[in-house]
Amino acid sequence: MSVAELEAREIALERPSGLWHDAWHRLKRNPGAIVGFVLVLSFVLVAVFAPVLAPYDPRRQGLEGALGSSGPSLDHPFGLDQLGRDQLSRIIFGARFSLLIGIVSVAVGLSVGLVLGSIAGYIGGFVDTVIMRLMDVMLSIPGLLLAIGIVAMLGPGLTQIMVAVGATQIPIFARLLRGSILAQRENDFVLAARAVGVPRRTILASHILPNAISPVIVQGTLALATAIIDVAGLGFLGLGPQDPSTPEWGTMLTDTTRYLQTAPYLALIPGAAIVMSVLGFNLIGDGLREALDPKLRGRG
Amino acid sequence: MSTNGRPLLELDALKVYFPIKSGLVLDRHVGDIKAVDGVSLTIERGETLGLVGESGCGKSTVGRAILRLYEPTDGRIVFDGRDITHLRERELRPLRRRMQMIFQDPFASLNPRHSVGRIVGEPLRVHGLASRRTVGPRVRELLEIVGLPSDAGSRYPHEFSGGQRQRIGLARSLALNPDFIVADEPVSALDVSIQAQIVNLLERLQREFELTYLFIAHDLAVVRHISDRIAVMYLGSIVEVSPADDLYTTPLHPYTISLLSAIPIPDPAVERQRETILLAGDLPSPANPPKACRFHTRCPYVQPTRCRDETPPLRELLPGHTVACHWAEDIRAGKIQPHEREAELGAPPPVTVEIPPPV
Repeated sequence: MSVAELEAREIALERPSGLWHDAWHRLKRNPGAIVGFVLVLSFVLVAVFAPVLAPYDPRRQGLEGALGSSGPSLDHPFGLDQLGRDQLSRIIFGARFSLLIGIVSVAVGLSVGLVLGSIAGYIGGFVDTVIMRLMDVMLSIPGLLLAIGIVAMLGPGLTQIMVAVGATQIPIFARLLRGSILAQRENDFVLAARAVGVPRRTILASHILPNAISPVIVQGTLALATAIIDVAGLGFLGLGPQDPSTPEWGTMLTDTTRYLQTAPYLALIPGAAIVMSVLGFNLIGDGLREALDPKLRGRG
Repeated sequence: MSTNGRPLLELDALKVYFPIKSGLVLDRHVGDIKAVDGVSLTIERGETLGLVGESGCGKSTVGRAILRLYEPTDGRIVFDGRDITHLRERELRPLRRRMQMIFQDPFASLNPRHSVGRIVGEPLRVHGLASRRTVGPRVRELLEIVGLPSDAGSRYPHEFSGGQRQRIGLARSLALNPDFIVADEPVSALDVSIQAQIVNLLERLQREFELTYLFIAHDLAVVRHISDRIAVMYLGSIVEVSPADDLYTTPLHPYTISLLSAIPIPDPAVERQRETILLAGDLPSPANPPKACRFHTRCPYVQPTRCRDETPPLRELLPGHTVACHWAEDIRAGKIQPHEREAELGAPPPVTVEIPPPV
């Protein structure tokens, strides 16, 4: 029996597995990623089922128990804020805003960045130079400052914040994808596809992008964390949702810092919520980076 | 297939230059990497032409330019009587069915995200030769032809060994029933035991499907085994073309002589007496190749006249055996002996090479 036949018998014993299947398999064995998953999953569940979970209406004020005069109690585990609103309910509803803002702004940055990055990377030449210099200009302005500028231009509000934070992410995604495409473009399998006569657009869509996308996915999860922080930062600076009754974590933080000495828990709890959600996304991002690394394929 | 005596492929003074660019915003063209500089070759139907030369001499570029993966700078590529040098991609597509390529690195040449079935079936789908229903049986047939289990189609490239992946690449290139295959160092990334398998498979396929090969390699032993004729390349140009066995028995060009003298012989008695000619220095930069005979900076037989100021043309010295050396007759007759020489340093400044965008 020839070597080839022996090997053929051997591989017939294993089940076929795709790259995503493999990555998932590796992700499951990464304790950090599991913790991240649990954090993010509970975050998402809280956001989705906020009306069911929240014991009170997050907007209902009650000045009788406001601030300090009643600390955390069985009725109000996280206490009441300066306007006597139940802090727990506000945190729970705040998850909705943070998640929404995070996802929408990353979606904005990701989609625009992907288009610009693919054009720059695949077409190259003058187009590439123009797009990338533009991205450099955007990157040279600190992200939060750029976001503040955009919010100042568009006016404060939830939609504006999402657009602003999304815009600051565009150059990161564009650069990442361009570099990744450049690396993939010279691969032999791309040449092979061209030799076969596969049209350019199909080569980009079915050969280059799927291989270039994994760093972008990792960056996407990490960007969700950054977006949540940026939005909280904008809220903290007073550029958040202008309706003061909106339970947004960053705004809650600003409103309660004034009472830090008498009721520290009011500021600590939204802060902890921000940290937990950001940590969750970061852990998943790190786990994905390891799981998707092609150099680690075949192991484990 | 029409057989009317004309060669399947003709290269006429083919040049492939890669521009060297510098500048931040506007790219200035500051020079060229002359990867292929005036290569003329003919490949007859059904033959295997071996193309050998050291790394960086432009042999892979020749292969890729033939398939129009690189844009030729000058010269002509004539495939089956048709000038394809400047055909547009759309006009080229029907011709792509007739010429295919096998790559050196079996790990880089298969898309890791696609199943083997998709990889092998892609040429069929692109050219509309198989529908969703008929592609499966054809893929299984192709896999069996190259000696893989027919159920390999549902697996992914990383599940296969190097030799098996090379078989997958072969199945892909056979899918369109081509006449001509450029095999770019198809075995140099494989273990020696596997090399023999793949070479034998290539030979069997050639007989079965009447294939013509351009077999690019740097391993002279493998090339001798598979080739009918061999072309030796040095720094972007052909220095010698000869029937395979003649090249080994009567090498005419000093470069070929030095290459052959470097092959170790598995016999200690012979090995002790064997005289190796060591070439001085490195391959000169193709951005600034030596004038006249490109080999004169390293040639152990270099002469005071002609070599440095006159470009040697390819001349037919023996039947079917051409060489580009002014002194080939004298070297063959033993009138000129090799001498030790120092490397001529006059290295041009280092340049950054920009890989050209796909055409």
